Amino acid sequence: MGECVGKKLEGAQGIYSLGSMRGILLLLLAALLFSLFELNQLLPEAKSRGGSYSIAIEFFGRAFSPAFSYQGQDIPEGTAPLLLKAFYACIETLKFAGAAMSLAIPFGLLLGFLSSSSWWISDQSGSGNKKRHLFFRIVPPACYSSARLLAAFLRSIHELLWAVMLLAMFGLSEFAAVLAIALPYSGTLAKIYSEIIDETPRNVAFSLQGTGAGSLQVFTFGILPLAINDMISYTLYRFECAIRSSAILGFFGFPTLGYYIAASFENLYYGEVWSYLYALLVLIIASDFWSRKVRSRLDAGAYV
Amino acid sequence: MSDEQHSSGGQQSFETPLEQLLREKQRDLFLSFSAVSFVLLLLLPWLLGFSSESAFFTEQRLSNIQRFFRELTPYPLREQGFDFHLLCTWVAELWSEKGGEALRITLAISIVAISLAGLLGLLAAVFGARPLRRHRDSQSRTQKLVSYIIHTVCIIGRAIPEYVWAFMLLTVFGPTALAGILALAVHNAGILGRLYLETIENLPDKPLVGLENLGARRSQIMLWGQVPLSMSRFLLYFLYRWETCVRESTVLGLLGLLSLGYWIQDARARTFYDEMFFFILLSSLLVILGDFLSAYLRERLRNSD
Repeated sequence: MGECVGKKLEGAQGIYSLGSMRGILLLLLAALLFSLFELNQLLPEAKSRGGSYSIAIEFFGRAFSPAFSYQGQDIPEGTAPLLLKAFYACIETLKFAGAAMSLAIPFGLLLGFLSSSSWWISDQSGSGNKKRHLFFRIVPPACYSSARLLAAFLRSIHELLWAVMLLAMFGLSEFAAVLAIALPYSGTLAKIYSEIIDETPRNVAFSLQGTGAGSLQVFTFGILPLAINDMISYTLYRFECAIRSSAILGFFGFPTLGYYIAASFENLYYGEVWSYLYALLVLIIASDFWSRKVRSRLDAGAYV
Repeated sequence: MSDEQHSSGGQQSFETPLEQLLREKQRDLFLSFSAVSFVLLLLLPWLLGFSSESAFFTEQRLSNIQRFFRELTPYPLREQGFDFHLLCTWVAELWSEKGGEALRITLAISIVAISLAGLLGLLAAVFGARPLRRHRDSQSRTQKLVSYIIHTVCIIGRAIPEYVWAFMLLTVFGPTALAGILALAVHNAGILGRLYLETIENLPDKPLVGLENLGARRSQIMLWGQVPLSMSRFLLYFLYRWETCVRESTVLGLLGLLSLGYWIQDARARTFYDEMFFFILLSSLLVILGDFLSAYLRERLRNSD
């Protein structure tokens, strides 16, 4: 009954619904309690094993004084200074991220176009030609559902799991790392591209179609120009994610930032760890700043 | 410029609509620069080349690939050919020994972590959000400082990946679920905090000003105005991040937590690629189910908007 009243009120305000929100919140609470219970049951060692909090204090204490030169004593001759090394690691990180994106973007575009249903707008007036009609009833849905399935499969496996698999397949190869990022990212890009395309208002597309434009023309002039800004800014966001992923792949032995973070951490050189972490921070913040800037320019109606 | 050229040429200047559109296009130097540098970022890695790569498909690598695919077949099936019953017993065994429990742990870690992240993000938004637009110029210095600190903490939290957080926290806490939960929570709290802050700050002022005129204090406006108004947005982001949490909590197993990733790593170390592939498929199934659930709930939320 309370829900009924709630719904009426929301109708007036049109802002949010208590009905479904309360349901979701209750579901969430139940899930949370269940999970806590599970973890308590399944992981008894979680209580008994106290880690060393002195390490924690030491480690997080170094956050305010990152190292500017190596903390170790015996550094081999001719090693680049720490900051230069961090810079090289950043370049490597960008390199892996860029290479992965250069594969993921075209593949994601292809899959995304195939899996969006707007691409398949066609004259379904079915003027006489029954075969043609049947063709458009069957082929496009088959095409976009299989493309969607492929994209869903690609992105359902985490990039590190792809890396584990591809490394088992190829051995330690840098191409395996690039592919490990590129595969799931093309799945994600495909999903988002197709969603963006499908959510674009269709009025322009329909009016173009009315003047006799073909499928391809409708798509390139009626839909793509309206969708392109969102697509660009999502691509830039994914690039930022790719930087993070490529940094993590360092933990598997590739020369990106993660490799140096892991190495310094295991040597207990916490100052160096923070230097590398700050390097990663700078990369991420810079790319975030860049994509925001691009987005605001695009929204203001500017062109390349 | 083109107009001058036209008139100086002595011809009648007649502009088609297309030409007019092209002339009126706002060209932006920053965007051109961005486009060029983005293309360079994508192409340069290939031009520079990767250091370890001389020839990719060496003989050894090809035989390695062949072996890999041979070993992907579940081992009871390798000699006898396909037998549905054998396959089922193999799957059932893996499931009851390791898979089922690992799946539950993975799910539980993701749920606890995202709840914690949501709570932290909410706190960040409540305490870090700038006041209503009309008061932004007259913010006190402490308010500004608090808001600034919260923004910075959020940035640090989200810029460092979950995996790196987990790697560091595992040495602190030992290989317990707590480290994984905290790692996921910190990263996602950074992301959710930022999204929540933006949501609150972008709310329409009108209803809030109404509350203020009724005599509500700032905390009351937050509690009874800003938070309820943005709640459905919050839940959307929350569910969206939960999807990634499921994915990540699988992967944190590679570091030694008992989630699915642990058994993937374990099988890989023993080069039981069939087993490894089974667990990877299991994780993929979990992620897809999670995506479905979250998409369904989000759809319901949107429809109730």
